[in-house]
Amino acid sequence: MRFNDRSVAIKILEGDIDAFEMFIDSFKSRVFSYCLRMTNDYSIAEELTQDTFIKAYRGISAYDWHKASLSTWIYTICRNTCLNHLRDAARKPGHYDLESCEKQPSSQDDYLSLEQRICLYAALDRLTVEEREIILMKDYLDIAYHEIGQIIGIPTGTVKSRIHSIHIKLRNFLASEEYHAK
Amino acid sequence: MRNSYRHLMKNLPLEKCPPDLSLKVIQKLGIADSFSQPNRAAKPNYLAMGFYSLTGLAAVLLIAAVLTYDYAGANSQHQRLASNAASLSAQISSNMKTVFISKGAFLR
Repeated sequence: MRFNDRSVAIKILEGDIDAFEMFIDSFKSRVFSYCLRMTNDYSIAEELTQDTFIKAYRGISAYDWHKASLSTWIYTICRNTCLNHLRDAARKPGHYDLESCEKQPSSQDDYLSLEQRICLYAALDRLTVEEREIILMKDYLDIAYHEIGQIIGIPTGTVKSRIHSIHIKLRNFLASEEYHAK
Repeated sequence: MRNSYRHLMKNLPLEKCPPDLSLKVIQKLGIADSFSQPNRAAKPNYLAMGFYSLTGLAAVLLIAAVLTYDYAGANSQHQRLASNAASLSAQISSNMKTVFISKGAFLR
């Protein structure tokens, strides 16, 4: 894995546009999904995804393959891009753009109904930004604990304990959503 | 309707990305034009060229050493010359691999 990361990084640094396109294709879906879940706005998520890869291209010379994998590096850029946007936009927790959600193109494997998705999105939106980012990385993108710790800059043990308490919170939110839906 | 967190999160798929995202990124970076030049693929790898040149030189020295030694007979001066050529060839070969591979000549 590290040799491939190094090889890809060198090719992008040398200006290999095909390698850069392949790099984008490998990560764009996950980066976009993360941005969308963090902002709940399709067009903003698209813009933030583009910004992430633009920053990655411009900063590729700073990537050190000894310190982190390419995926950790790109997720760190993505996370910082989203946080900067949310800070600038001063979005308050609890705001949920239902119209944006309904207009989203449906994914290929849509196992959940729109109702279930709205339920989940509403529960996620009740979390703080810090809680939402960590739970999306673990439960949505399936990033390893130690990698999340590297991305956010906290110990692995802290990641695990925070996720545990967030799970309890989400279960309570969903239980109350179901109650209100009835 | 099952609304447990585990069930919902497990079945929440990744979102479909806008199809032209790669193109937009490349256009915003302005790198598309600089890579449309026809001779871009033919850009020479000078490190690899240097490696192969020295390989050729080492091979020529080795062959010359072998031939000189073969025809030197009892002439110790020629034998010494052949021995030196062979040593030089071996030294070039032993140093080349470390230097050129560490410089990334063979990453393409």
